[in-house]
Amino acid sequence: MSVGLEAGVHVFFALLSMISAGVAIGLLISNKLDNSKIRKIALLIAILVWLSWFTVIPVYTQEYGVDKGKIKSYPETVAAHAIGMETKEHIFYTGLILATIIPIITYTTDIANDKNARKLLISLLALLVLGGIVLDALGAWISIAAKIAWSMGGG
Amino acid sequence: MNSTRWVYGSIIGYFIAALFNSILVVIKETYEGVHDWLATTFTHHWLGQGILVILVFLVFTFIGANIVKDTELKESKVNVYIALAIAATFLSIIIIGGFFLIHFAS
Repeated sequence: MSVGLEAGVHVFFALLSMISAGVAIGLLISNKLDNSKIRKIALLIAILVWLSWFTVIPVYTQEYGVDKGKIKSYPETVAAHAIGMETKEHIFYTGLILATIIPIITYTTDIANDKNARKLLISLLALLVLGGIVLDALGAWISIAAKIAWSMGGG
Repeated sequence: MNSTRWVYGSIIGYFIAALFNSILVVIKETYEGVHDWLATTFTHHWLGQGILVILVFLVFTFIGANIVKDTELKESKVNVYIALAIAATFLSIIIIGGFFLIHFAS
């Protein structure tokens, strides 16, 4: 069985985490700071990224192999796996850990009153959003490459 | 409880876990034995990689939190830790992406 719509669940959780990170940055930049709210959003970000990982495990370890065979069949699409997917699947773990330290920081500091903690948190959230965009772009490349490969009938 | 040490400890853990993640990619893609060991031990090499990265993060966060003596977040120190987090993220992308790019081109 090849990758189906269930791959979208992984992307959906990842997208929600990026939006949540954007909301958190917005709250941190504004003066409407509330430790309780920031902590909840931080925890939500980490949970969403972990859910993104859990939901992609069966897709990547059991289903993607069929698509990989197709993608690798054509010189036009092989780079999407060899560079795109190989990079994406491994960089993801860096993002997973980055997302995990976000709630650690919010729950161990007074974000509302400590400008240095705020600066640190904004930097980490920005890295998370930028990293998420990179992963999303790689995911789009792989997705398009799979469509092209299947349409060419490779395998 | 001195919570500052957990802030710095978690960033130390992140820095080391991100570098470990990148280096493990190069090692397992270069040495088939490492790739196969991960695959047989954890059912899939990619799952094994993830579990090891998480363990490294936990261990070094704990060690980092016990090494750090700071009791407050000072601006100069925070700037250093922000730089560490940025370096870890970009090194991870450059090492992993660069490795597969070179591997593909060669």
